[in-house]
Amino acid sequence: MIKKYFLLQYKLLKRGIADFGLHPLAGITLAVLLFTAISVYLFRVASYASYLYVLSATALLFSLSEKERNDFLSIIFRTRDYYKIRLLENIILAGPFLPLLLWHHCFIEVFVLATIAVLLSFHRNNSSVFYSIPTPFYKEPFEFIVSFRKLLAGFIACYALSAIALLNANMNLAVFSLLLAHLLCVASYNEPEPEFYVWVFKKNPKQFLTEKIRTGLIHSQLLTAPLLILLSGWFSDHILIFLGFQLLGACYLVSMITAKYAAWPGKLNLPQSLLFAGSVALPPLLLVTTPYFIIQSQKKLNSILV
Amino acid sequence: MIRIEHLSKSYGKLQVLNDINLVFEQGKTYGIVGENGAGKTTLFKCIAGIEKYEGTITADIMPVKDHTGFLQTEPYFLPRITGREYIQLLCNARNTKPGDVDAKNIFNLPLDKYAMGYSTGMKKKLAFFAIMLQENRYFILDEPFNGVDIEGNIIIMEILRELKRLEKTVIIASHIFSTLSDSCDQIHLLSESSISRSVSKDSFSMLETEMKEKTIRQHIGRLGLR
Repeated sequence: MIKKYFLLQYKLLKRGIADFGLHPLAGITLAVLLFTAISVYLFRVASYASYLYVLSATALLFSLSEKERNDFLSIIFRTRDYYKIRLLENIILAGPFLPLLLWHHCFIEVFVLATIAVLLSFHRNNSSVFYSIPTPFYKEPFEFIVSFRKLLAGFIACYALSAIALLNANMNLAVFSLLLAHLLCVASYNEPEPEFYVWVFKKNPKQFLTEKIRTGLIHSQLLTAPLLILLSGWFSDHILIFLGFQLLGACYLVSMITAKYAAWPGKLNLPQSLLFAGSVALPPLLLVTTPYFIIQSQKKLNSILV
Repeated sequence: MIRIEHLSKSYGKLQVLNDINLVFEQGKTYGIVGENGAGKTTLFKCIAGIEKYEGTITADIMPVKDHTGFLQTEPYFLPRITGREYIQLLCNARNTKPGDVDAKNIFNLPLDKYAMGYSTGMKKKLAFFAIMLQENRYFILDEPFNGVDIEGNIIIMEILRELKRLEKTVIIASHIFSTLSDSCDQIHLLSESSISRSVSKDSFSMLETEMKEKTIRQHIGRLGLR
């Protein structure tokens, strides 16, 4: 029974990769290579890499503790099998993070991550249903309402990282925390919404996109501006660098919003993902990719907005 | 008024709607009945402008989509959005103001809790409540009574009467015949991709009897219950 469950998960994973436009084997190989490259790079450039590593793995493990998913699993499987599945899932997910931690002799982090993986296999994220986290976005509720609540821990981590950067006068970490906050804002536009949530707007495609970009920029500034002010005040000699990254974050956001609707109602396909990822790595490309995404998104939205 | 002329819709080789011709007049309520998979939801999506189609759909106020409140069979709610925020979102989308939502909350919904934590009936009530606050001219209600408790059903029926008084055009799909016979001026039977019958109020009971007999004859007998 458990084996069949994991075989089904593997089949679903392969379908997901195929939907992305890749052969499953190529997709898995690419994912392994990317994960390894990012991990090696992280440990090479950042002294705090092991903490980020544990944090990232924990965030992923939390996503498996989602209540509805666990309710479903516990209904269809016997209690013992359910816990076995949850434990195995967490081990499989945390597993890839362990070799590099061991390689760098981060034994405490290995112990902490293993403990978290085991403990979270008994955990269900059910508290969110009973109370709502207040946000400053209630007047225009959409992407940022959802992502603020979903990624709250991430935003808190950004502010914590910036505090560490201030205490240690670590300029690189300060820039990283600001950029990370912007990337979390960009992640707000990761999931395409169902057709109804576009159809319902009394706007043409141009007005719709303009409104989405305007709201996105205002809301992202609300989340990142305190960080910018704090860091610019502390590292006042480097204020232009922080302003530059703030502008870059805004450009990433505009590009992501337009890319999202260029792919809508589906997710970003491989060429679109590569274009966006290329623009993130090489920002001057944004001057080409963003107008391209705008044209594509207007074409897509034309089918439902008039 | 909404006028549908020669509406057809196919998914690949599968013809879902074939040459539909209907007129939905102002101030009247219409029922659409048909078996599961008959094409009711597709028809609604075509009217709303969510699906592309062949034929024409015109209305006295165009575009239809900007003046239509669409209640879907299974309303989807964004994760971690409260009832109040959902209402605000839908009103923002139509440039309307929801006003004092607490005072208008006749379904007694827990508006500050996440909608994903609502029961099936509460989700339906929330989606229904939100489109009522959008100041729409047309309403498409796909199974508005499904999962809703008795008190909620009574309230929805009263709202339908009020919409009629306000000269709104309402189109409803429901598998509960009594809800349609109580609220509709005309019922259209959608069968095998086409409108096979249109029945006025005085013939509703006859239609219900025919549908019951057909169902019992064609389906229940096959079950071979012992």
